[in-house]
Amino acid sequence: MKTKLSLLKREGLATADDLRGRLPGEDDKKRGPYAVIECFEEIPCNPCVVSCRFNAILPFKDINDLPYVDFSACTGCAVCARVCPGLAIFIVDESMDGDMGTITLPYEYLPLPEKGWQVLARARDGSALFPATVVRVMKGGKGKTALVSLEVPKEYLQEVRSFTVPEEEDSVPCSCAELDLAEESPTVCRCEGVDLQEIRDLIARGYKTVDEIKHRSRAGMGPCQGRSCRQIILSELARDAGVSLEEFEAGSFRPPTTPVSMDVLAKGSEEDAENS
Amino acid sequence: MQKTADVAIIGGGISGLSIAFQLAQAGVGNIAIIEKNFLGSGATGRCGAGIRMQWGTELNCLLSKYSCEFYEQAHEIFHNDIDIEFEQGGYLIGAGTDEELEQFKQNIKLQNKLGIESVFLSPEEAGEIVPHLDIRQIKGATFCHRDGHLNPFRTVEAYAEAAKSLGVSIYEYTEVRDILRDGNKLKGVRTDKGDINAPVVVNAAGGYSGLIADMASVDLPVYSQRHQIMATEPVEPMQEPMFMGFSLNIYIQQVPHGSFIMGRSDDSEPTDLRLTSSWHFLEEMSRTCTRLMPRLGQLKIVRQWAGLYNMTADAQPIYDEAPELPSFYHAAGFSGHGFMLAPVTGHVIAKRILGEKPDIDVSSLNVSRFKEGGLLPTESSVV
Repeated sequence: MKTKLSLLKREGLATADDLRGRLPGEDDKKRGPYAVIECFEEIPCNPCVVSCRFNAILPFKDINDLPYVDFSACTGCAVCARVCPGLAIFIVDESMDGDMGTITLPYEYLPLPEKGWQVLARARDGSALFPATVVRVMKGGKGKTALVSLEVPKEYLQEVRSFTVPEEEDSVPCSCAELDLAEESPTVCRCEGVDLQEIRDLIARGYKTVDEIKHRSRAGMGPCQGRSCRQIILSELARDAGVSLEEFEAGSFRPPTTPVSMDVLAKGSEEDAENS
Repeated sequence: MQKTADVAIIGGGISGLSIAFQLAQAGVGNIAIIEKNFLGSGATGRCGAGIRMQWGTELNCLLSKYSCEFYEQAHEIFHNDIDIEFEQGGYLIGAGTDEELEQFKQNIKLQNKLGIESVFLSPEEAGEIVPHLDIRQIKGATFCHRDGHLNPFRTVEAYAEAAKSLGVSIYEYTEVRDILRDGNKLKGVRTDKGDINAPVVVNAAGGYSGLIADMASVDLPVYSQRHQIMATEPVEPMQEPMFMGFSLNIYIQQVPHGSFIMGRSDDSEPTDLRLTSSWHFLEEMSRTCTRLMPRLGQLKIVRQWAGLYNMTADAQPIYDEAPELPSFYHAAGFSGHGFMLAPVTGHVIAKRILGEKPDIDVSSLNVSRFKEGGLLPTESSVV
């Protein structure tokens, strides 16, 4: 079965649909700062839940659950944002009077900006929005991510999700397409150890689909079943062909979706046999 | 796309590639392979890719011996540097019953007579070759050190490159829609990209060969059945040979990459060309495997997939010209052994097309045997 991926799965960009249930109501917005958690990966990860002193992130039944904020309890203290390994938590404050609010963003690049700097606010897809002023900086370290707060117009609080320091822009690569592969080719498929140069070589030799590249390189055959490499290979194919990603089939998805030991599988069958 | 060909081959799997390669080597100039998906996307890229010479009938022994010897020399034959990863770690075949044990003793006599260096082993001797095998589950075993397995994707690539260098044209993502005929005279093939006029057409469409025969309005008594495989996470090398059992219903090998891959057969598998995977298979395969090799139970399954066996009533292939339509050839019904037989398939079909005598007499593998009650002796050495 061939399946087309959503924008979120394909390029990692959340849409308004994906954010449904992640934002507070109007009353909670006026009460004070709050956390917006843009986490969509059902992976075994729970630092946000265990770090919250206000029990404002709904408890997990399973460690793979996605976090949801109880906005009546959230104080916007930003502890969760500092421990999220995915840099997926943002603190929004639109409780003050006037047209401006603040957005607090996790930031892992150097140099860390200082209060008063002018930076370029950017949207989820990295596109430039407008210059913004840094109003607060919390340094990182000891397992905690640095946080930088920007003052932005309230109507852009759910748009700004990153920023760049303008002087540094030229030296910061922002996509695989711009990487210099002469130095070291980045890994595309971690499970099978396939790098970007190998993928590009196969495309140059005429391999046209994710499945063909999988057969030839093993990219996507490992335990994670292509969760990260599939998107990179699709974007490489699209870039080579000069067409939209949507022109390409996402390739075959193979069960089981998560590795399961044969002992567990065999036992399930024995129980079924006993029950029947 | 070209308008004419001397030979049009339907199916870009290992069989079609082998036929094209052998014809091109023999000097046929204008050969077109038509593949509806990409090369090796059907059963070829989904199979266990094992090669064994240990069979129970003389013909099967001879066919597989030809193929094994071909793959041993593939590097020189293909004249390219693609490594097909032919790992000759042997096949260890376990007997699950006393009856099977007796059959194996007969098989060994036959195989040795034909120059196949197989030996009979006690359970203890088998356990020395595969230490994680629970030898209480077997009555005895046979072993041939020259058997082994290949990387099917690399083998496809090696065949394709060799064929292309001899001038063969390959059309991928091109689907055959009809066989063109004028009465009893074959005209060529119609594809979704245009017609190719060809005086000779070969049906090497694997699981879909029945559909192609229907397009030509010729009788091909085959059906396709789903077979499934699953693969574990990779681990350090611990099993050199393929282990196989017929009454035990398993084949399992550790590929050079480190994964174990394994399959079994199941009469309840569907015959409607579906390629889906089932949970039932994961459980049954895990039971079969862990009963025989308990230590492997800790290994995690990371992938499962399915492919089609193109079956005949006697589980042996059909190598023949269609009686109803001269110059339309069948290379079909491999019943799960198309990959290992591919070299000999190319040889016998090419010889037949050229009107020459092949090295092995395959006249008994004709398409009429099913009508005339001429089924071949049953081959019990199949999973």
